[in-house]
Amino acid sequence: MLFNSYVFLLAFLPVTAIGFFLIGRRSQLFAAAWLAAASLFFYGWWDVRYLPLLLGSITFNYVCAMQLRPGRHVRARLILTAAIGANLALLIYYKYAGFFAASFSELAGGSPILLHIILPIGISFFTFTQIAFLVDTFQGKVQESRFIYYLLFVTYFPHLIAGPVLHHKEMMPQFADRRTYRWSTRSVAVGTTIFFIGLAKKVLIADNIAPYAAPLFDHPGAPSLLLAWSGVLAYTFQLYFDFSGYSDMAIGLSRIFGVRLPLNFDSPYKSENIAQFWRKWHMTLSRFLRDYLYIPLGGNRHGSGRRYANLMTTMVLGGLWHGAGWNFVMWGFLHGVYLSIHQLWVAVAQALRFPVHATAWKWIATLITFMAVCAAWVFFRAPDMPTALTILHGMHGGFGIALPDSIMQRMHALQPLFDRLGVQSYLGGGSAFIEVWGWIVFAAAVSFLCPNTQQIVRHYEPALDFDPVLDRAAGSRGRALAWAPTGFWAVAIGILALASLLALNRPADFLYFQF
Amino acid sequence: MNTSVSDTPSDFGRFLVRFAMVLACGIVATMLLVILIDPYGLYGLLKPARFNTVKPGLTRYQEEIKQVQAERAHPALVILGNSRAEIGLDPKAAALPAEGRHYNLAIAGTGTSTTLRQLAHLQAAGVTPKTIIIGVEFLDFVPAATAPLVAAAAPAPVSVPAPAGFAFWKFDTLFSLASVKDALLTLRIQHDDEAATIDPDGFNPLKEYRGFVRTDGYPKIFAQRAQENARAFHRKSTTRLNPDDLQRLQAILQTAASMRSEIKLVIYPYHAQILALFDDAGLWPLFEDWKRHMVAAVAAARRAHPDARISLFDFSGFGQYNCEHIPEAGEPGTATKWYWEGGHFKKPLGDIVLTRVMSAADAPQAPFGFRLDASTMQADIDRIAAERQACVAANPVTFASARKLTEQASHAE
Repeated sequence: MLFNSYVFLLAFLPVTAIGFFLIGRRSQLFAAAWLAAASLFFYGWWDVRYLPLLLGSITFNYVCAMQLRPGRHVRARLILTAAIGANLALLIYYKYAGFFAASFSELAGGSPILLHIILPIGISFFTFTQIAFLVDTFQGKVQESRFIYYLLFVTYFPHLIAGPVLHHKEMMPQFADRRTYRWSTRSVAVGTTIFFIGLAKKVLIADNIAPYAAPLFDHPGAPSLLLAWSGVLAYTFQLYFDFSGYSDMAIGLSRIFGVRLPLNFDSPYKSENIAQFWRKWHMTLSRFLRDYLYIPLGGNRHGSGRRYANLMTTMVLGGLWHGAGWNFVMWGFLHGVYLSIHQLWVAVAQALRFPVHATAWKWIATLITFMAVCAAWVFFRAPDMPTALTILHGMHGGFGIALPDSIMQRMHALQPLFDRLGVQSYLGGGSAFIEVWGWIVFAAAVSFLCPNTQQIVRHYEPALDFDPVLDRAAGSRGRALAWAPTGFWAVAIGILALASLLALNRPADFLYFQF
Repeated sequence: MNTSVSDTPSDFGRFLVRFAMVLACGIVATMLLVILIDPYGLYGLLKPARFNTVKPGLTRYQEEIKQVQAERAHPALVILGNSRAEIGLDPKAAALPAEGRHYNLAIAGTGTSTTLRQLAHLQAAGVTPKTIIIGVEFLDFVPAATAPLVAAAAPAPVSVPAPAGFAFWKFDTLFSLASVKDALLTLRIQHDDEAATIDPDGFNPLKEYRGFVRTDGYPKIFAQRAQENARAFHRKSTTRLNPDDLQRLQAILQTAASMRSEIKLVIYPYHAQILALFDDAGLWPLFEDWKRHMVAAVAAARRAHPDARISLFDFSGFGQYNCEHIPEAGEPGTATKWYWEGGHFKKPLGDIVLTRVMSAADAPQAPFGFRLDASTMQADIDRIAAERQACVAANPVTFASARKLTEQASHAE
């Protein structure tokens, strides 16, 4: 069941919410059970065959966690290792067995082995969530351990399929809090607003820009400079509006139930360097990788050489988390290289007293960061390595520069410049060219110039780890767009909701469902 | 500063009520807008002149909308096929019988499965036209070169499923952003002579091409489509036809015959450029083989339904119409009379096609619209060969450029 579907909006959500608050009046525990049952139904809607797998994983991890009592250190460490190993084995079987088999057969020079294993939706998210729970239980950080809340924590439908990656210490207390089970017009109003902003990002921007990205990656041919860049930029914005829209919807839905989720995006394309980008993109995954991989590996505690190695390891594994393929390894590796270069640059800039805080440099740095991220997305999206390299070749002008004939005809004055640059013309594709660049300009304006969702709703605690400093960061445009429960905002969000509902006729999957 | 401190629960309650009211009013208003403007001709509540008379070209649910319109019209004659029939064969043509209504059910980009489904739905709705004109497309029967081989002995079974999501399309044409956009477009195009539109009888007058002709000219339109065709033909198999399509053709003829309709199969009047591209792509032997299959299918249907009136007309070739000169850039008088581009003929040629198709069964054989059966097959092949010689002599550039495009297409792959 998709958040952006009529069945979810008109049936599942109202029934679940009404049931939750009605039951919550009488019993907190039964209301939590109702919400967990609804979440399991939500999951089973896709493929009921994977429900036993999800329930088995939850039960197994809960039982293991209950054995991790403080004071039984050696035994507990063994249990922890075995439990994490079992979780990773499950993930590897479903997500990576096919990749390893195909890679092995390729190396051996034989015909490719196809295992046809279907990836259970959300497995990466619920596995990581539970590994974190095991580790924290082992470290004595877990306070609330009732099974029903644990079941709800893992299955909670707003985050189950594609995150945010939740941490038990921020969720379990909320599920145990009596106030969560009381109807709150404030929470419903704020949650509804956040949800519809997210829905609009998904169905009005991401889904409309998607058709301009797919042709380049599906049939790249020999893409000329502008065609290559338009396809890559279209995907760059599609992915951002799709995933951040999904995250907003998850945060908004959860808020309707009175539960605040952590932020997952914070205008990442505005980042001035790649480290900042990773603090603003898929923030809950970055946090997980930092806390459960980078720091345990040693982080930056053992010298710069080890720090770079840890960075590379974390990013490559982060890439593999997204998918089983060399393209994802390459994507993670590239980001590891970017982060290493950034670390080096920080040291050099400090030594040279480079004016990194100058406005002009910030613009340049933002542009460089954005272009580096775009180049890496090529590996993330391309179906294979040759396609990715072809597209990158096109982005560097390797296949020349070309414009649709109909557009060149209207630019007589620029003909001498075109001749000097060797710009060619091609028949057809004029309207598609205008449409894709129109969408790119629009999406870029929203991404770079507008406040993000949490900045718009900043006065109403939109998310768990919301930083009030964002209020200042939003700037004058942000201050003008500060949501409040007023008539103006009721009309604005009502119109946004209407436009989004009108665009639900072709519900498209969220990109991150495949991870 | 945290302004939320001053907000009370009733502020949030009022917000939610207002939000719900805006949303509810918006939903009702958009539905009313679509119903009153009626961009797809489904409701017909308001029909003031120059308000919504001209309907925008269909970009979605063509099959469902046209089916509803056709079933309402109860036509005495229907035209089926792909875009060539949709924009070339006008149900208003003078050659068609005056009695009864006529409807063009042809849909761009569709093939035998759609035609079969359309016929089955007409039959199910009790609509039995006296005459059914069916455009048959050679390219529909040719699989991609990379398509897996299907054992001819066990072709996929023919099924006639209902249009997918029948109820949902009705909702979607009433409540969706695309419908609102089409409603507003309907208001805008009432006086636009270059807008994409569809006639009430399903014919697509292709008015938007007037704009393309004005801005780009015929040479570029022909060149662009020829490039696309060369690439598409290069990807086709040169050795086999799709057995599923051949079987569906049989089913189409059986269904039409069981409706007691007179069936007229039309092999489209491809421009010489398209046929030259067929030849250069190595498709010509398959093209002739396909015609033999057409002849065999008609014979089989006649055997199964001895009373059926089925005729097959071959308009392909290199005759006076097909060999129309393609204007070159800068050439004076660059308008064409018969073709928009190689793949699509204009209404005037479509009218000639319909005149020939509606001629009496005992009318003499004609080079354009050659009556095809087992006894005339060889004569048709000889006719086309002779026409080709004359066409090559008259328009050598057409053939030379086709060869060049085919070479470019093979290098690009």
